[in-house]
Amino acid sequence: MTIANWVLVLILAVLSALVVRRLERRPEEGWRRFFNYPGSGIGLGALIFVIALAVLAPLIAPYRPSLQLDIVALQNRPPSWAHILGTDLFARDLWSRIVYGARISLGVGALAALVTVVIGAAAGAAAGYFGAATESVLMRLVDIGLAIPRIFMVLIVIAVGRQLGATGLALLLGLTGWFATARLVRADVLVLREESFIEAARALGARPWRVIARHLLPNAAATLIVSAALAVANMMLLEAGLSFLGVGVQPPTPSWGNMIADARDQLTAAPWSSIFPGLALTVVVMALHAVADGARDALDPRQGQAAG
Amino acid sequence: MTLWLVRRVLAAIAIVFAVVTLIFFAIHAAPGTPFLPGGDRHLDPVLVASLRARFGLDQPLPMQFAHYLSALVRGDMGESFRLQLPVKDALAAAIPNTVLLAAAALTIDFLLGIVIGAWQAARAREGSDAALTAVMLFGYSLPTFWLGLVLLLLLGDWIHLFPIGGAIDPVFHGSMSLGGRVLDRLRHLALPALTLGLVGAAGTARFQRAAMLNALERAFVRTARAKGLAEPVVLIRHALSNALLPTITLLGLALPFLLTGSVVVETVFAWPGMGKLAADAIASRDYPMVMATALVASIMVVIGNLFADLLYAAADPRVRPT
Amino acid sequence: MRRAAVLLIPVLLVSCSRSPAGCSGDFCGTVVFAAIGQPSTLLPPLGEALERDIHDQIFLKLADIGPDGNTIGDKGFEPQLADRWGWTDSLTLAFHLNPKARWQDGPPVTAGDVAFTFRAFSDSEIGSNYRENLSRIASVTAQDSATAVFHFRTRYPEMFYDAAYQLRILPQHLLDSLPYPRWRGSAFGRAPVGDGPYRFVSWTPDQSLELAADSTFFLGRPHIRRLIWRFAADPQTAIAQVIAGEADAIEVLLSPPNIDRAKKTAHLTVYPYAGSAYTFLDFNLHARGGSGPHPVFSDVAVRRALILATDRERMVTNVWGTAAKVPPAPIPQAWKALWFNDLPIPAFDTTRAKHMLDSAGWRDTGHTGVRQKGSRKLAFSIRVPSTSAARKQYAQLIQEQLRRIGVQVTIEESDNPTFQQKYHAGDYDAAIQTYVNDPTPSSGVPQTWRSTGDDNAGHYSDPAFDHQLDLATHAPTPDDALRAWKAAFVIFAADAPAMMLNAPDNVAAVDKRITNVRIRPDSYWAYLWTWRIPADRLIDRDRLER
Repeated sequence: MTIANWVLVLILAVLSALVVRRLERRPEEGWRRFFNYPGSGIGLGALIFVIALAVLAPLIAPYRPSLQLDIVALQNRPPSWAHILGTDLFARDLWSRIVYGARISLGVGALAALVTVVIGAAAGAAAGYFGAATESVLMRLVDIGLAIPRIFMVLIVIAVGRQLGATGLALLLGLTGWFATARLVRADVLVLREESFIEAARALGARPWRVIARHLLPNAAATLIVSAALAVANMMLLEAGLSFLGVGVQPPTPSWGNMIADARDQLTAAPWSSIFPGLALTVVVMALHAVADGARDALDPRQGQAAG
Repeated sequence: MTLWLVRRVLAAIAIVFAVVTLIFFAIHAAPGTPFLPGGDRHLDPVLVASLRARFGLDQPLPMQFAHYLSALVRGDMGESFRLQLPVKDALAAAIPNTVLLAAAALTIDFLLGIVIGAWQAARAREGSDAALTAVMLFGYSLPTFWLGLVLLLLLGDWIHLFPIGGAIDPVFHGSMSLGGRVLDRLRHLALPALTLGLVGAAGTARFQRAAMLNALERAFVRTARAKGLAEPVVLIRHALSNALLPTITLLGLALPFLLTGSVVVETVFAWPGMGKLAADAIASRDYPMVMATALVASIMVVIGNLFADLLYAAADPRVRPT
Repeated sequence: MRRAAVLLIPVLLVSCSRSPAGCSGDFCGTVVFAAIGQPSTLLPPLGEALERDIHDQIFLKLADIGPDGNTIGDKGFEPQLADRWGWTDSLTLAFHLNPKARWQDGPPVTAGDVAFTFRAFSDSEIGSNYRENLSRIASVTAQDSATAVFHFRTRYPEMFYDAAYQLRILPQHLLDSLPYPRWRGSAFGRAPVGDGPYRFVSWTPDQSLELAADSTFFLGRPHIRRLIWRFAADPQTAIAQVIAGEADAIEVLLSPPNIDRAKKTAHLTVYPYAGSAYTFLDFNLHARGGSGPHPVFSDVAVRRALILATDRERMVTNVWGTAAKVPPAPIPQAWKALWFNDLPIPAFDTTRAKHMLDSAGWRDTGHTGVRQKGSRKLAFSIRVPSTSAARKQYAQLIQEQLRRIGVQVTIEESDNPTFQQKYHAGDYDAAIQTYVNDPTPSSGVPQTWRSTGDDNAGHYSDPAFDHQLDLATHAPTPDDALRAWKAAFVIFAADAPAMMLNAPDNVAAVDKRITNVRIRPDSYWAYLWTWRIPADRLIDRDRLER
């Protein structure tokens, strides 16, 4: 999962750079708007904290995440000073697993979201900009993609092969999850296409993809950044749901999703082994939503108060 | 408008066809085989071969697909391998349960969501608004299956306020009065519907709050206030009624999700609906049943989308279907 | 939120507004079973575990095994459809049917039904699981309407068991016109008519199934009036239903925490009984999916080292608490007589395991933490089905323990259809498999471990072992059989074709108001028709009149 980790850090860097660049144009107002929404500051803080945990996992976690301590004496122990979040069915330290699980869960979420946003942006922009046959083909593809119920995702994972690994799973989630983003970006591009500066760029003979990359997409940044944040959240939840149905990230690699799934039968015997990863997942998804809300306020003044 | 509708319906049929085709080849490409014994012993190869021949699984895949389509056109969805029942009968039993669950969940979702969202907007920027926003965000961020497990543990297992799993009481339901039967259904419906409804309500409330805030800033609300109308009247008659329309368009979008996305909840609560049928079918490589659930689910999605578009057009006169 | 609270009030009231009138006396009672899974048919030759629990209430055998589980000769067997039997010669066995035995639609049960049943159970188009067990019976004929005669091909100790135990007698008059290929999915399988203590009432797929006592049952009127099975796909949901009192009985509690909870639940009694399953890590001795030798497991020294390196006693405690033991051979708890305690099973010893791997040529030459021989790493995968919590747990435990001696294990979890297909096709390195066994070892052990066995996916083959199995299954006396089994298991331990992991004892939970509960290990609910609920303990669901 190291690749996905690096990808995660990279995307976040790029994203923040994009946000900062957008905000630079009217720096004070943008930041004010972002932090105006009370949740986004806290959300951003929580997110940075969790990313720091993930990146620094080897320094923070007291144990290797798959290390089984005394499998008889230390099985399903409640939180204590020695194991602050308790231990699981395999006598593994839950805190260490949550810290390392952050890497996998965030990594899978971020990588899948990256694929989603890149493909969604490209497809949406192409459909909106070129129109005609390109649009018909791409948008019908989107319609089909959106009409496949989520449960059949499980089937697709099984059909593609169970030994995907976390990176493979993330790519698969991304490749099957870009449809909604494409629809949103297309709507933005349809509006932007008529703006005078795009007309001007075209009149100057700029190539279509250059117009899309340099002029259209930066102006659709609000949609992209918000979709990206929400996509990370959705993909993390989806990974957890797939784990629950038995097709998520494979053991012994901890992901928050497979931790919840593994603890499912221990819900009465060791509630902590289910509750802590569940809370971790909820908090990060919450933080991502809060950041998305703030970013929407900051980047897209048209939407004004739509902190919802 | 009529032309638009005809085009949309034709497109919808094409989409359903494409989904069905995709799922057909995916399920046949998946490893694993139907007709496994319940235990771990292997099944007599002679018998497996004869079963495969009987259900046409020994033919080339494109042939099987052609057979499937021609049977489908004749209204024949085949026999479920797992249940050893006509697929039609199994669907007929499951669809009402799913519709019931979806309706209950949507009711909780929208009633609760609209009330909370509107209430928040009326007290925008106050402490209670911020607190509720945080609570709603929390609710919206919960993994549904995890919430289901926790609710089952708390309200079913520990406090035993609601029955654990199933759609009806298998002992008493048959001998209950009509009112009793309705209550029995409601009791069994409570936990799965709450699980789905609460998460949905959190999302709806967030949307409703924003829509209501927009409405409150519009001219007609300011006029109403200027006329000196009482604040509740302004809020409910003017702001809320206007803010409801965009929220209602969410309904069309939520519908397909609820009809197909409740697999995990149906599994946890042993609710005999479509989602569970689909999950069980996939898990046992019950090809005819997988195909039937995919077909029904994708039809529901396209109908939901169509419905959402129509609602959207009705709600916002500026949007005219083209 | 207030609205929701108002809605709840009538919902809560309904549970206390039922009237106490209704059935009273000794023949009331409703027992609700929480069942994991869902039956596919109630037509006996096609049934599996759950189906068997249910259809055994509807269909009788000629005679059934006794509480002691003996399978040799007819010792302990109890009459069911047949009230007596006798040997005409050493290869001919005659059953005399009880003249009172009737089908639930009226006609008497005849020897013709028995002959018809034998033909159906041994037919390849029906493909019954029991076909193998009937292979040594040449034919069954009706001497007269009340006498069914079994003709055997050879003499062996379990002739009587084979004739009596597997066949659930079927009504010829209702099934004769149905061609064998149409038995699967037939209407009869969804609404059967039998001759047992219970009649079929209704079945809603994926929800529940109901049977009602046949008050004219010829062996005595059952005390429990209604039987209802509730189906839950999820084991934890089923167990929660029993703990909450929504269901009265479940045959397995599956894990130590569940057993503890059931023990602490005031309205439940737990009934431990000998389990008939064992679980093992199967080494594939052939190369994965091919026919050459397996690069790791073809070496017996490696297999033995792997077994030495895993602390199976602690693993069994981790997974099962005190409810399971590590079997010394492929035997479940139920085969008490075969549980030899002096088989040469070496104790957990990682030092010795490391030495053995070193001398077999597997060394950590690259200092990667993983042993290798030449360029081949000492690495393999373990297949497990994602539906089995206990087996997934074992896979992770083994993975971690073998990591400590430099063996790299990956886990291949897949859903059950994939697992079974790959396993039986030999497409695995190692796999964790569980077998549920008949009361006798003579069918299951050869089927799984003999070189020619149908379920011998790992290609274990040792002529000496096969020879001892043949001696055991054909032994003239029980003592001879035991000696041969022991010899076979000594060879098995030396060959180490699999790592035996556990043989659990099962624990059932049944509501306290139900008395006279007896559970037979091979068929949990076999004595159900003798259970009773005393008149003073009846609750609403028992009294309910329909």
